[in-house]
Amino acid sequence: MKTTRQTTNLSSIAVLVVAALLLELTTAVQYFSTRSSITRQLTEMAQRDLSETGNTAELKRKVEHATTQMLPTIERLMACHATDSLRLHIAQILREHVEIVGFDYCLTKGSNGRPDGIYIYKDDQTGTPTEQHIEFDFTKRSWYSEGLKGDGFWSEPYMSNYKVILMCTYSRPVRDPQGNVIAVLGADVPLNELSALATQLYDNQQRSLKPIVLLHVLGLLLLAFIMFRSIRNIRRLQDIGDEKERIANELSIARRIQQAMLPKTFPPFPEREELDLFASLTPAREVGGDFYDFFMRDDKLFFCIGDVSGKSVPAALVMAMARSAFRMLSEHETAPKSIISQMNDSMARDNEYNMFITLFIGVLDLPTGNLRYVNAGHKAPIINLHTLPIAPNLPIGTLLDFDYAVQETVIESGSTIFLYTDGLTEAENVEHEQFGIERMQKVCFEASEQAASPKVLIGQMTEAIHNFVGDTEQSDDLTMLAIRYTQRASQRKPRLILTLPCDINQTPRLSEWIEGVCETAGLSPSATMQVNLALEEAVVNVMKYAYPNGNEGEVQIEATADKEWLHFIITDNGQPFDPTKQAEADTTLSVEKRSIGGLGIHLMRRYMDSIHYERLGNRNILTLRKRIVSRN
Amino acid sequence: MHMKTTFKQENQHLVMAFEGRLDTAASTQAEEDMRVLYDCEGKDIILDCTNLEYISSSGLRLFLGLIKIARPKGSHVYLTGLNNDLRQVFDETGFTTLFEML
Repeated sequence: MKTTRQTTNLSSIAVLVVAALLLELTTAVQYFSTRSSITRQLTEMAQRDLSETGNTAELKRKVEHATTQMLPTIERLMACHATDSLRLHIAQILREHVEIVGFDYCLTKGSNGRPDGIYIYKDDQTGTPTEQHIEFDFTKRSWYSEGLKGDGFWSEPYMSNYKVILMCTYSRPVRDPQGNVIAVLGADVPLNELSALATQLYDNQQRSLKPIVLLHVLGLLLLAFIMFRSIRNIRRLQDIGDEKERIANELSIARRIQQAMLPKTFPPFPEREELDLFASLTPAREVGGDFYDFFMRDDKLFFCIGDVSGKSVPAALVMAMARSAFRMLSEHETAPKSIISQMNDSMARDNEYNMFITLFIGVLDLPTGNLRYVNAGHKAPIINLHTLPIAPNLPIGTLLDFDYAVQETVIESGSTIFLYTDGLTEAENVEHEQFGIERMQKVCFEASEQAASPKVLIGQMTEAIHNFVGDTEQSDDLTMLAIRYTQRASQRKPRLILTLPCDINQTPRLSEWIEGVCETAGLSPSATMQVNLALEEAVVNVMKYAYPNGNEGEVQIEATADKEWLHFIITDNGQPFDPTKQAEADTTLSVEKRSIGGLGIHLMRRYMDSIHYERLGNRNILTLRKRIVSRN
Repeated sequence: MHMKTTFKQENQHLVMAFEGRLDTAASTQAEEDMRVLYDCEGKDIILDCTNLEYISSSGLRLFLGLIKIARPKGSHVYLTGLNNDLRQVFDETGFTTLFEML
């Protein structure tokens, strides 16, 4: 960045310098051309004047006479090398003649052997004759070169070297006693009237030079200002560029963070044979408002897919919030309704920007295949080529305390659930045609024909969309989640089931049965006692609270075991009763303060590794799980 | 039945021994059996659990009920002979701190 900035500075300065030079050059050319043309005009006028005016003829005659009269004296003084007297003589003559402003006296050979001359002229202020050495090369002047030749020569009018006046010079040769020319004497005669005009014109030009110079300086200042501004703008653009780069950089970090929020290890639960799952999320921008999540707890798969209104950063922020809320809530809540209602309320409460999320939440009970779900305005998922029936619920964030309708279905073994966001069906090609539900269903159908895994299904879907949209830019976030559920092999084994009438005196039968199950599963006597205790508490609870009116129903206890876990599923047809919601006994209180209740649930939690309740249809289903530890 | 109690009155103590499984089914009878201890009149009570194999929350409630009645009468309630598994149940439920262990 620094090098670029330096380069820019250098080039800006170069431009400034070139522009200034051009300005200078133009002004100079203008100045000199004006000056020379004025001089030329005046000279022409002077020539006309000299040839035509009577006054001028008289003046010429006087000058010629004066000069000629001087020559004998000058030649005599030269012969006896009386240089000082010669100068005094010239000065004396100069004083006597008002029409002459000065004399040039030029030796063909001076003391240094080269032509050398002096100029004696009247001082402007005092009129006193003043002497000055001639510094310019007078040999090129016509009054000198022509003056050497003949007996008197009038030069063309010319601009004086010393002041701004037009002059003519009358010159004559000075000879030594042998008749050789040794010097030239020139009398300078100003062309007064013309000179006055010339001076005026010249002054005018000088005067007009001032505004020109002023304008010139202003021009330069303006130029400098423009350059300064443009340099500053270039810099600012660069700063904007830097800022843009920084934002881009931060966005790409945000993208990585956002991507990291989503579970991306596939297959996510390699130890669960009953479950295969794959997901993909492609934001249209760096970050997006789509999300999915899934995780396993207590033999249940909690999953969701959502689409936040809007795009980019605002959507991404809401997405992050929603995804965290889902995770946090589903750690404790099992009912999708409870999860979604809390998410909705927390979002709707402070929804200043009217953001909302279409969201599907599903809770799949793996042992039974029971799927409880709630769909908040999201696209209906596809299950085995059929669209899952969905109740009309509002997207979350729209209305506080909205009563979400929960639905339920049983997923058959071998089914695939396909969830997606509208970025899939609304993907457009160049002709603004949408990918649509039919194309999506076709891909689902083909995948199902091949019994494709979720990963393959999503791969094929992605390919189909790419082929469809071609080079069209992706306009919306695109998210897909596919889950294939196969009921676990162990579930198909003959189950150990005990059915008890609703009678608390049946607990010895339960104990016997449990001892048999634990024996088969290889549990230690201590663990067996713990399982027995937890199961007794659970079953007695059901008998007391799900059937409060006495001996009218049955309790079914089903046991399954795999290598690691022993599962008990207690089912009854009684009143809804969730023991996990019961207050636990505070075991730290004193005798006086301790109440009788709450010990049962406390012991269940203590002695089982997980305990889980759900209400399915008109049944209470309680699942307890104990990790099998070997006898040793 | 799976559960049996034996009551004995010694000089200054009332002793009740539990044998077998004190589960929910057995707790109704056990509650009846334990009524004799309610008239402790300041005498210390010893609950002998040496042969107790199992206790559920129904049994624990009986123990808690007893201590709530006996203690205001100036009686101490002692527990003795708990096996490790049962000791753990008492620990888990905080009952260990309610009783005096012999």
